[in-house]
Amino acid sequence: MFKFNKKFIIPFTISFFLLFVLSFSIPRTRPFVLEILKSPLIIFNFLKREITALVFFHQNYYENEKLSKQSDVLKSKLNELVEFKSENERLNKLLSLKQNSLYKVTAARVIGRDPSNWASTVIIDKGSNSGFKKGMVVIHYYGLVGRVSEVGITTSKIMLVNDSNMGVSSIVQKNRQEGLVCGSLGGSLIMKYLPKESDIAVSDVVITSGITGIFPKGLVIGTVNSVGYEFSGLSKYAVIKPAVDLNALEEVLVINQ
Amino acid sequence: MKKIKFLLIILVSVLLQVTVLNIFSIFGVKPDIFIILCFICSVIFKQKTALGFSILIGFLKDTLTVSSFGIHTFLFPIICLSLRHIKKNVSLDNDFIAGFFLLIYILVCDVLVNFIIQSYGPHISIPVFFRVFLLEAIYSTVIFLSLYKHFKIIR
Repeated sequence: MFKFNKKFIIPFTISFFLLFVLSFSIPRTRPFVLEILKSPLIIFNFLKREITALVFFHQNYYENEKLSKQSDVLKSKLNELVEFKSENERLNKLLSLKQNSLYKVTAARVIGRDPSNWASTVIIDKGSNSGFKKGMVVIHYYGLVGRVSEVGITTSKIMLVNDSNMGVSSIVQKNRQEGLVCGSLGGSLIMKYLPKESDIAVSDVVITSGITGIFPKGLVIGTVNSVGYEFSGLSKYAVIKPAVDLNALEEVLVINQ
Repeated sequence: MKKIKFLLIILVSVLLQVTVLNIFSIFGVKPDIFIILCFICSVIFKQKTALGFSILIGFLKDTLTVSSFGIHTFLFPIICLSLRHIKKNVSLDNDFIAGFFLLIYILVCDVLVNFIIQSYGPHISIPVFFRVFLLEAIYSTVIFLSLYKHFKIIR
């Protein structure tokens, strides 16, 4: 049986106290430790890319063939779109429409991921020296990625949309039904609190609503994969496939303004 | 020399955990190298060294994850101490017995960590919890079983 010796009480209490202090000081020391780990993380991230290329060589080979074919089709479509764009610009000028201002973004490279399975975050190679601040919105060419959750001098942590801490007020692009997109720690997101009578369907696009002011309006979150009723039967939910492949993120864009 | 070797293993494993291991995740779940290392150091080193290493491993895990306080910095030394106590009564030389104890430790650790996470606010749904909870424990145990015999050589 475990017997507690009285002479250990003082060292045990001191150790316990020190451990307690250390535990609570971690959020403050974290940015500095991440600065130290930044260079090895960049090296290991390079290693990861090479291993990924080797592991998925076969898959990438066929995907490359498929994409080359798609690229030819898209090139011809692009030519058509260039024509449409110039036409649109001319018409806009005629109508004196104010052009929507684009976001000012800064690109950053993903150098690490959350080690635990209970959070979905990534570490990027830019921080406060690039003007990043906590809460800034992070996007990708295809849509919403997440928010800046911690900022160091040259590194930052991004909480991805599939983290369980994340909640994004959103709307279905087609019928403007509002809901809340939450993370599920996996490859899909859940859109909750949809009205029972909403006509949301598979492959509908879900975008940010901009209601809370945290996320700009109109950022693509993903497409509807399936729809179901909540356990209570009072509202619907939708399983969303994120527009961005969150497991294969290599670069992100942080909205500065 | 043994300690330096293990320290290097910790640093490399930590970097692997946040980069390369994502490639090998199953349904978005990867093995927890940190708890494996904590378990191994508790078995192969003397109490003071094992405690030092377990605090370091916990500290590194908390640094690389997002949490408002160092759950693992606190939890890993407790795991280390309890494991050393178990080691007095049960031989952990057998890979499968050690694997069984690791499985139990991961499950208990996940329940505790989740209890703390949930008390801070974010809600993890039951299906998601069980997916991560079971897969992580099984996957980590399998990885541990393949690594344990190599670490026993260090001892």
